[in-house]
Amino acid sequence: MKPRPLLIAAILGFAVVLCLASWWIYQRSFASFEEAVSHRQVQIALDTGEAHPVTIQGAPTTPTVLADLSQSGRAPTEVACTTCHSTRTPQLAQRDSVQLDEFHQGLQKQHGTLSCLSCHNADNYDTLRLADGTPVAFENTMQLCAQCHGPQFRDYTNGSHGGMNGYWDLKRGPRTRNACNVCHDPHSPAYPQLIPVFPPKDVQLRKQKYGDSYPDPDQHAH
Amino acid sequence: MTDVKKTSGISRRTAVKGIGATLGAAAFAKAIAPLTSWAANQSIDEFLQKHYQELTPAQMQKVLKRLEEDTKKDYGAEVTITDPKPQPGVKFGYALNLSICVGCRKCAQACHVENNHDRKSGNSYIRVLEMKKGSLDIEHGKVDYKGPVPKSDSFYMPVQCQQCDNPPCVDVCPVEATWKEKDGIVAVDYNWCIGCRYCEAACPYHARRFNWTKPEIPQEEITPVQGYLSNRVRPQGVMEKCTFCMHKTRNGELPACLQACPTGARVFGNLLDPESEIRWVLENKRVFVLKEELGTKPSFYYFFDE
Ligand code: SF4
Ligand code: SF4
Repeated sequence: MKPRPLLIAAILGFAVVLCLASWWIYQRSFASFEEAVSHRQVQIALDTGEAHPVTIQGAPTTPTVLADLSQSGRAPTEVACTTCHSTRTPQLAQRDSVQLDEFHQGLQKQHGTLSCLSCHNADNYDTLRLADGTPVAFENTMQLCAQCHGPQFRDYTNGSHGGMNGYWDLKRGPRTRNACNVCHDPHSPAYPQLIPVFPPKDVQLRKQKYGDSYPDPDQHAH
Repeated sequence: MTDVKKTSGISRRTAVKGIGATLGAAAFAKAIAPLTSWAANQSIDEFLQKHYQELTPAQMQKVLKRLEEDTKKDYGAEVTITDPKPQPGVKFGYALNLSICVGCRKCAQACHVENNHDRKSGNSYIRVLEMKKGSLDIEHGKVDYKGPVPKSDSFYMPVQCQQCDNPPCVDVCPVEATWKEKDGIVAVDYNWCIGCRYCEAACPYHARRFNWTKPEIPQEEITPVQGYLSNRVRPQGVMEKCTFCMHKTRNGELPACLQACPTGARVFGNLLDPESEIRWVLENKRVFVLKEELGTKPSFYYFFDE
């Protein structure tokens, strides 16, 4: 008879503790997850206003070449491709710079089995040409590259390949993106090796710990 | 100096809580005035400043002004410190394409500059690990690799704060100086942090950094656009971390590390926007997160090109 109210209180107390505990566990383990995955129900007021532009940079509008004029006693100069090519007959049979006896001889080409005229337009050297013969402006080299490098082009268009700058939110500001040729020399397109910048300094701390036998990165990298 | 400051951090909180409750704020300020001689460069205002989440907008304005003046005084630099808020309908996500990262560390350098890190310590929130192709052994990833990159037998994995949905660092903080914001960023109130470094120990990604010394930065190198919760110059003895460049990204800009990346290995955007690039990556690439088994639920994803 007597212990009854005590027992009820104890059971009630236990229930409260149990509820609190399970709520706590739920909050810790699932609530944040739900928050993270429930985005499909989130109402986003999307601003339909004008989006800022994305500018592709790095492709020349007028293609030029650095002409070595040393034989005529002049300094090297940038000249437009048509300067020479409008007065010369295209050598359609020549596939490589090594076969040339004048101009472009030193050019390194490591781009599969492509020949010069696979990309350059013999009818107008200020333009490029697609495999089907359609002329393409140098500014749109991406179109040319895309013919063979489909997956890379798809990733580029979807923003997961190629350096960029500016805004992630195009409603708030513009963006610039690099053309393919900013990073990949079309004649030898593999990304060049470079010396990494900014060696980590916490190595110094390790050096303190392990003594001078630990190599100092600053002494080699620059 | 370091020791005094560290211990003063804890006693400061205890003192504020204990004595502050029994005395009026003015009387309290007067009572502790002598203490300011040993807490040398800490003003009464700073000493009594409330937790970030309890500051009213007006109080916040005062704090920001004070911090701008302090930066002018300490570094000679004119800076603007703001407190950009999370945008509604935005949860930030970051993805990194391991197939095209070349390990150049330009991202780590950009982070160092953008976030006003101490020049001498060479601090950065990003560590780039070099690993042999065919393995994913993070524990043996090399951070101090040298020589031309990318090496043909290696791949590179930059690691920074993963802005977890279930962040262990937040759970362990005894004074709630770190928490998760609505847009997914794990923030630190540098003025509330007591420097106990529990969070640093709890982070499985080695993403937190401690300010052992007062940062030394030449005046002309200080990034003038600053955020209260992000890149303002941190006081000595507090914890800091990557904030996805909150002061830039909350205004729609891309983070500094992405802008510096020459290869475009980095993808940043709004996870809640189905049209965003980050969503395209999540839906079309095979992505993975680091240490998934820990249940931290990162907002930072990695992927390889197929
Ligand atoms: S800057 Fe880009 S390519 Fe260079 S290490 Fe960082 S993520 Fe990799
Ligand atoms: S987002 Fe900003 S703070 Fe974070 S790693 Fe990149 S540069 Fe550093």
